[in-house]
Amino acid sequence: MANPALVTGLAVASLLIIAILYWIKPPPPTVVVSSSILWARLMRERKRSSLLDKLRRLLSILIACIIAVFIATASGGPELISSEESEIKDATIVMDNSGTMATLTRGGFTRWEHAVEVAREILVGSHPSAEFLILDTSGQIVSRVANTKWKALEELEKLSISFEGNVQYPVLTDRDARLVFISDGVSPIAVPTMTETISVFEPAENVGITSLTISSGLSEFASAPRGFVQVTNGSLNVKEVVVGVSGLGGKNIRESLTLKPDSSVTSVIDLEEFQDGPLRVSVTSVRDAFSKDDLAYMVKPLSSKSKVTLVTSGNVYLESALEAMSNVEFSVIETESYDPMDLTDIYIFDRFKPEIPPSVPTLEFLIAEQFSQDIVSVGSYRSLGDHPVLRGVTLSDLRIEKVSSPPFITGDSEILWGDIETPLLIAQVLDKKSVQVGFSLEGSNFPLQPAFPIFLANTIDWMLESDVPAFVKQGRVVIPTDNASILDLDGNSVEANVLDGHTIFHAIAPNLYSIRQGSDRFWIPANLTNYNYTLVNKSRLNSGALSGMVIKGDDGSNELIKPNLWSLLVSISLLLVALEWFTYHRRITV
Amino acid sequence: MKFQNPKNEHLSMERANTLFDDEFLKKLEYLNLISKQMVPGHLHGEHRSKKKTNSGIEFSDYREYVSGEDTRNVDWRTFLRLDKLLLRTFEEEADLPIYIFIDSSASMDYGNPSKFDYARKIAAAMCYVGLMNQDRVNLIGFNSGVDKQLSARRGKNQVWNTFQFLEAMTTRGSTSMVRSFKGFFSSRRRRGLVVVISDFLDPSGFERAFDMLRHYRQDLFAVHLYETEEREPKLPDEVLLKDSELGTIERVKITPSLMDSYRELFDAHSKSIEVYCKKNGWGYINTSTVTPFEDLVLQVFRQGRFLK
Repeated sequence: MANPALVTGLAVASLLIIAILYWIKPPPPTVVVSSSILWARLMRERKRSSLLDKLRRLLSILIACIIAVFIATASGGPELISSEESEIKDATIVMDNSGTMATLTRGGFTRWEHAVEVAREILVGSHPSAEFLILDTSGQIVSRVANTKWKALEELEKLSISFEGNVQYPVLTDRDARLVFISDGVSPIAVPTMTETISVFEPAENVGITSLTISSGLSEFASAPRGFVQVTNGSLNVKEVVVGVSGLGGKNIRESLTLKPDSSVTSVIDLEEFQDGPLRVSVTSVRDAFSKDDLAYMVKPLSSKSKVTLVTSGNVYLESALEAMSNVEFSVIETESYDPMDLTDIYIFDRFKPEIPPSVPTLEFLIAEQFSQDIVSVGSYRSLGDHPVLRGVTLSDLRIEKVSSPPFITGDSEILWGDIETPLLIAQVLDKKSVQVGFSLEGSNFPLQPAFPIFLANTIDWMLESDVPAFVKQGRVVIPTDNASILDLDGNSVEANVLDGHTIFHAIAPNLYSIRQGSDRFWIPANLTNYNYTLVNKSRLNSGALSGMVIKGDDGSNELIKPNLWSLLVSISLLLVALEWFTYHRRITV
Repeated sequence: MKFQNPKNEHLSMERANTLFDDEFLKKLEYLNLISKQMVPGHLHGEHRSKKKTNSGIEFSDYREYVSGEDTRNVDWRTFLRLDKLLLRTFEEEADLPIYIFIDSSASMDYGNPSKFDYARKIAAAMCYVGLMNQDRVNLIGFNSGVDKQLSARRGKNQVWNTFQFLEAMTTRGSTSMVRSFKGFFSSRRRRGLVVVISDFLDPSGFERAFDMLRHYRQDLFAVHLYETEEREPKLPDEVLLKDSELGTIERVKITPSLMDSYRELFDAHSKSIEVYCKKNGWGYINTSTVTPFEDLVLQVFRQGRFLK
């Protein structure tokens, strides 16, 4: 019961009101009759014979009081306590609110709605004195204080699905209570033993965008920016999919794909005919149960050539590769001509270390003669991380004769390739971006590799890319801009905070955010491009059980939905109202 | 229609908005005609008395001669033939006194039209036919006693007086038939037909009063009037019932079963009067005020007690 004291007070107040109403009932009207002889005789006989007549008023008050008490009690939401429920069972209910819980089931409800319903039934059907702790896998509830079932129900209603990705089983306090986990089993969550897992999984069809990237087109292979859309079929059947791209200028692209179950296809989108600015990519398939990954956004960068200055004593590989890049305005200078004040977007130092480093980003090919070593294959070293510089760079056939010791590695340096003892590729983001290659081009077959121009293009892209992220995931987004105003795709203002010269906001769902600061305006797509979401059928609880209806406990017993006492009380009250109406009109009661 | 008043003045009865208007008088005429057809020959005006006399025109019967009697009526021819002294008796021809008692208690002033108006119309009709039939008609208004009376009248020229008397009657007081009958019949009255037009809502009951009439060897015709609403009252759930005669107040909680019981009691009350009358060979008629009064009067005539 929600609040016994409140309910009792309500019932007492109702009874008082009824008593007062009966008390202040107006006196009966006087009617003149020709003679009351017969009436008097009749009443004398009735008074002798009828007990009901004496009890009429009492009966009427009694019915009214029962109705009032029942309704007052019902408003408090009481429960029937069966013999099983008479045992007080505290419980901790962990709700899986990861993104895949937004998948629709055949009944039209999401897995999350089923999960909430199951949790609600557990709470409502439990002993009134039991205490509950509601937790979630996204950390929305931080409190570890157990509450009454009604408070727990309130907490349950506050929970929502999170697309931020960092799902994990919450840290539990040492509590002697039943442990229930309600999930679809898709998210890789390690569940402790002795946990009753309740499945709300139901197979669903889904095709989604699992990757969306954009290339600036600086490499020799493309003169214009291109988009790469990876579409994945998470269904159990072959799906016909239409990929559509639309952007400013009214340009639309549609492409039909056929995808086998659990397969992905990458589609390349030529963005040349689109205007600069945001682009919307969509996938459409029949009976798609998870819509959050059906849309993604990207922003076509501004079309302008970047100025790259190569400082070298002569390197045909670099000169050739840079010359082939259509969107690069390339110039070569001797090491003696180096002037840090020259206007350029990027410096590339070939075996040259300037005394005064430039203020712009630099790509440095270090002098490999400093340290000799036997020829090593790339297999000895590993690629660390998924840095934009190495995107699409395949180094399987690379051989290196000489490596150099890194001149400078700080805690802020990121080793992209190699290891801490022999870093081969280092990226740094300090006051500027810089990439250091720990081997000379002459001492390796890297310039002969197809990956070389891609590496160069990636590096230049990365160095020239804005501080503003091209894509963000759901969750906390930091923009290196002070006091920016943020609007979502629907034009709604997004709440943001300013901290240390940065604007911070929360991307709670896939969207395209418009950032404004003064006259500047740019966009940040927040896409849900993640296999873990798109593969909605990869559930460890895939037993074919109908979602939300079966509770799998330790003993395998099924608990059925129980009728609520409050509805019973309301029903009885309605019946009594009908009875009162009948008895009143039959003049049985007053 | 013109009637002659006692001062031989012709008084027009064309009066509107009164109890006995022209329409009413036309109905009386009609009733009178109907009554002639119902009982042929009654217009000779005299009613046969049960009393047998030694003189008269119409032979009735023989009876044995008792010593000391007048021998003038001995049938000598029969004596010669049968050797028995027999006297010839004749029926006494006498006019029948009709005592019309009209309940003028407060309870009669109920309904629309009121029971009292209805009773007066019935009384007027009876008077009219009785007077036309050369009967001696007495009109008595009673409540807790004899309130008002018009002594015996006879002949057509008394119609005006009886109507005037009826119109002048008013309702008041409670009902006591015992006191009324006692008050009226305590002075010597001839045997006749007593017509009581009343609702019979007498706190002391009707039995004692009727017993008194039997004691005085009167013939009774009871006309029991009631208002429809008296039998089927429309009352709220709880009501204070005020008695129009006694002013007493009865608190009643109305229920369907109570209403059923009341109706049963009401019908039982009527039935008890009817049973009593039939047991004594008297006439009884029970009617609501919604019944056209002429229909009721015809019904009275059909019972054969009023017209002989």
